[in-house]
Amino acid sequence: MTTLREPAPTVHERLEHTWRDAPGLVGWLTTVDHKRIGNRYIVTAMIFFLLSGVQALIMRLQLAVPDNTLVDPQTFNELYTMHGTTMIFLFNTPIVAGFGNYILPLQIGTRDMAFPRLNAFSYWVYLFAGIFIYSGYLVDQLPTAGWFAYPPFTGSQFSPDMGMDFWAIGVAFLGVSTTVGGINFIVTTFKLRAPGMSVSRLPLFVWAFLATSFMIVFALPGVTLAAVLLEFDRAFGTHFYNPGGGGLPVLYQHLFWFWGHPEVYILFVPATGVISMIIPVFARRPIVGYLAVAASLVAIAFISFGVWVHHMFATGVPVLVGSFFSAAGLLITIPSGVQIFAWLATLWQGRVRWKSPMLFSVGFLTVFVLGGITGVMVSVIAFDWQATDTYFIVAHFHYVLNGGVVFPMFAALHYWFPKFTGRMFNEPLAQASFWLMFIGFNVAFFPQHILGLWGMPRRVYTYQSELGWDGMNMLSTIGGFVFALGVLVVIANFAWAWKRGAAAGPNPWEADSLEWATTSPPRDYNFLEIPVVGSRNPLWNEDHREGIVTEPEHGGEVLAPAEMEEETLGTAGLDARREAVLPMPEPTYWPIVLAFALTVICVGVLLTNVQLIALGFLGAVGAAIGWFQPHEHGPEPEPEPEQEREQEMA
Amino acid sequence: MSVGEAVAVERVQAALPEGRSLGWWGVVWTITTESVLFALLIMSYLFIAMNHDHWPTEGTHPPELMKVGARSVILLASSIPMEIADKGIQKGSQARLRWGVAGAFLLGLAFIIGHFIEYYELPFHWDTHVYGSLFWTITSFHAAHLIVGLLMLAFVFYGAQRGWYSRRRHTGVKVATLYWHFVDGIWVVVFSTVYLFPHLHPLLKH
Amino acid sequence: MAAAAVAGLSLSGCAVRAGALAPKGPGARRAEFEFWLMTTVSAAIFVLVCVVLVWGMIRRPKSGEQEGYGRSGRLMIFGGGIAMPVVVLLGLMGVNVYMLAAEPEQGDLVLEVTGYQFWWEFHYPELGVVTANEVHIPVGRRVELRVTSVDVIHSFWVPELHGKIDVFPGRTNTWVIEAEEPGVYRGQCAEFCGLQHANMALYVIADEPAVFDAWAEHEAAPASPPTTALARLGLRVMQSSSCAGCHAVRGTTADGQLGPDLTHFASRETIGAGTVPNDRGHLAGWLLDAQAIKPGSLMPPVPLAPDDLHALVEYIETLE
Repeated sequence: MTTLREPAPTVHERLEHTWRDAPGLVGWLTTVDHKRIGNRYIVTAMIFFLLSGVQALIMRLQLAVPDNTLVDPQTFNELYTMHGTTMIFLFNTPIVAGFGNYILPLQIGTRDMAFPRLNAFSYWVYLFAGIFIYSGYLVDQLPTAGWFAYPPFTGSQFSPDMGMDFWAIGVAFLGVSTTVGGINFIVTTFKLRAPGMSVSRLPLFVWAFLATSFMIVFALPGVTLAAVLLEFDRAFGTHFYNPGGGGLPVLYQHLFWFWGHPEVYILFVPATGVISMIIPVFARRPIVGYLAVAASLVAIAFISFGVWVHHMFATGVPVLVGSFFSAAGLLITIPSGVQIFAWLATLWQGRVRWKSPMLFSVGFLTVFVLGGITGVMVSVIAFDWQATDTYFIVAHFHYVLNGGVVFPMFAALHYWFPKFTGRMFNEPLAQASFWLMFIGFNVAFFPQHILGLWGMPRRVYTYQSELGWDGMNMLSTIGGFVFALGVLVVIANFAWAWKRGAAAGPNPWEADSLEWATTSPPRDYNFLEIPVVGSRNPLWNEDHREGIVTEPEHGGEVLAPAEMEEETLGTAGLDARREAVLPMPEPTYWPIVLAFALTVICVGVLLTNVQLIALGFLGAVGAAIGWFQPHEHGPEPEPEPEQEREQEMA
Repeated sequence: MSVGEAVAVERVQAALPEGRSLGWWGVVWTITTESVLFALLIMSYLFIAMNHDHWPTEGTHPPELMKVGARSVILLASSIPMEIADKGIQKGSQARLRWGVAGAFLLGLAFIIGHFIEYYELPFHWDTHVYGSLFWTITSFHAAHLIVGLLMLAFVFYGAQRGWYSRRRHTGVKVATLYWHFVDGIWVVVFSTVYLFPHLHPLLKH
Repeated sequence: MAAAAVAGLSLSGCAVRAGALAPKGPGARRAEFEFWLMTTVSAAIFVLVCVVLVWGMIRRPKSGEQEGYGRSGRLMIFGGGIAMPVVVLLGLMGVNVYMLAAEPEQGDLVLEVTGYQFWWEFHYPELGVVTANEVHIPVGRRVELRVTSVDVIHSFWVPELHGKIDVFPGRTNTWVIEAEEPGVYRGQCAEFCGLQHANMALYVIADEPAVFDAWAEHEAAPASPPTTALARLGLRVMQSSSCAGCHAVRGTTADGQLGPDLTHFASRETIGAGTVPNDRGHLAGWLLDAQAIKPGSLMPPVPLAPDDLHALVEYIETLE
């Protein structure tokens, strides 16, 4: 285990001075520090998680007994639409981005993301888009068509108020944030890995983010386009989805699910990346089948694009087409199976320590196997015709998304909490919260499979007593509240630990990856010296420790130049050889200004107000000019020595 | 060797601008995701068109090709001065940078003005029928990208006047060049679909 | 846990009176077969995973198991992660294709189904029958549904007979159902379609062929003229009030096309697509203020004097 010595004052102080944000509000608004941004993502996403949890509990109360009148149908439809929209767009995607932001640069041993300002920008867009989507509550005009918003119901004829506009514009806007984030993760992983961190030494968490980011880049335009065309239909009277004008409602479904199915993996693959980090640490053994797992992540990213019609078997697609997509849906089981058995083999061959992150991970494993199994079941078409759009599907995707993403995210919260805060939470309380969440989850969602088979469709605000669905619904509601109690215990535990927890030290779990090679919480500049990586589990392999220290002069780059520029090291190639010293940008207001200008455009479209749109556009152009203007231009460096260049190339 | 010296040595060795810049990677992935967006638009067009027996929808004629053909030549030609600018600044030539960017900008501007004239003359609008919706949306998506490209060129030209770019620092020019080539390249696809395909539709459908 | 889950499922399966696990038609039977097949295999896999998981956590690793795959790792990843899914999935793909091939494409009797917010119209073009929300089909014959919508997307689903088929505006999907034995099968719209999606039920009543023929003949006939004075008043109220603007009663001047056909309304069991039972009390309440019963339905409140209301209810209840 690494010990921390107080570093040489000059280097530390110089780095400290270079990388520090301005104090107070100015620093808060201008920061481009990936750790602060990551923290923000996580906290904001958790707030949306709680909002969406409240929505879910109100729905469960409404459905607990038949013919209930707790909420009226309009409110119920708003609740489930906002619940789904929040969970997919405003919780799952961003919290994953939050962990990626905080952890990924640390894990690859660098000082920030490749595009720190873009990173700040994507957080602000996320925040503003989230507020935009939720501002429907201010005018009491909310979408009611579910999180996938099928036209023609969502067209202006059947949903005349602004609720759907908030949804469509907000979702398209949010896509900017996700896309930019995905590109940032790709370039960061390509270019900023510590020297020696070849692709075969990349932590699986990073592999997972790479796979996810590729999926984002290729899939996200689907939902953006679906939402933009929907808004065009609503605001400008185009006919894309309007059968009366020659359009096709089913076009929306193709576009939406072209993104929507990869989206499941966009959410779930980073979660598996988290699990692939945690299980080896608590089994005290490197993961079994590293290459197989990495290859599985890549395979999932590819196959996920062949599955979208999976969601449309009941739309009357030709049988042959259906069979092809059904086969692709089944095929994706194999890479998922490889991962599951790699984790099992790691547990099998390891010496397991029972800590809360491990509990959440194993809880995930069982829940996810069930969700995967029902996923296979609904890939088989004749059964899917029965299951689709019923509570069976509701149960299935809660096993996959709540079980497969929320549990890993809670595992991640517990695993990295000491790194984020420098403090330990109360372990027995954490274990208690796990059991509450695990039991509550299964009690809430397992009965829903049965309800679906009994004929209960999803998105019904009530049901009649004669149908015999009461008991299971009541059970499900009780489970929901137990789950919520577990979440509250987690929050209480964290709130307590944030202030009073015991000091965690740099590496409380005796973990292997580079984020544990620095202080908890890490300093602004992350590493005193850019580490040099010699193995897949750098902190475990004593033989390869040369770079993993926290004092300079160990062969790594210190990069604390006298002229006080923020710098990090760029590397190239599969083997991450040193390539260039990259200057990093200063804190700046432009990201928040640009995000705000784009928000003004969105409000302009919402109100179909041309002046506002023009104002926002001008603001965006101005912000972009300010952003890309070189703020300070040093003297022209000496011309490069040609012979060295040639040597490098040879 | 003191820390300060070590740092100095590392800096000299590492400061070589080798390989692709971060900006290059960023714009390449942006272009990738934008290309998917256009691909989906084109697929939507074809999906809807193939669901119609008559395309364009009855009462509308397939687009006229002469003027748009001329405009296409202008737009594609604009990639040449842009390439001259990019290659020029890599060799340190400020003049080639300025003239190239200015040339590409003017050709792009000519294209977009022609485009707005065509909009003005069109007998149908986006809310006339689904053919109109597709025509207007796809071409205006392209026009929006082109306008962003023109703004980038204007920015680069301004920067060139201020002496921001040199042999060693020209990521901005590279980014604008790549984006401009993308806007030109995607026009070929848009042109083939929106302008040529309606002439081919009867052959494909029958 | 898996064993408990499966046991729970099968116990509940016994208790259930309806749904996908109580098939009464070949389509639903195919899905049920697939369900039990996959559930059995899945349960076995789930138990296997749990056993490996628990055992793996208990056992002490042998020396030499700290590096590389190890024998157990290779067995698990390539055996459990690749070989097992390949075998299972090939089997499932076979079942999938076999079951799809068994899906008939055409039926013996055409039934046009039209989805409205929030009710169903049924039309037997060959028999001249138009009705709403409750439809009879003959046992043992393949009924070819041709489904379309006038407004938004709905989904036609009667779980005991077959899975779902989406109901699109501007497009007609074909779906073949068949009932194996007489009975009343409840169905429901399964694609969210608006405020009253929850109350868009339908009933398919499967009859022996002779019973069905009698029903069809009766349904095809126009409404019998009212026989009592009160009912005659009711007919006048219907023809003169807003009713006739939306509803049709064949044999009268009421020929509206926006709402359900009422020609044989009194023979139906429910009002408002399964929302409330069809009796005088509910009918009167429905006529006065349908929005109180089914908020968001397109049936407006009908302001009627008490005498007119009484007469109208009397008349409608004669429309057997």
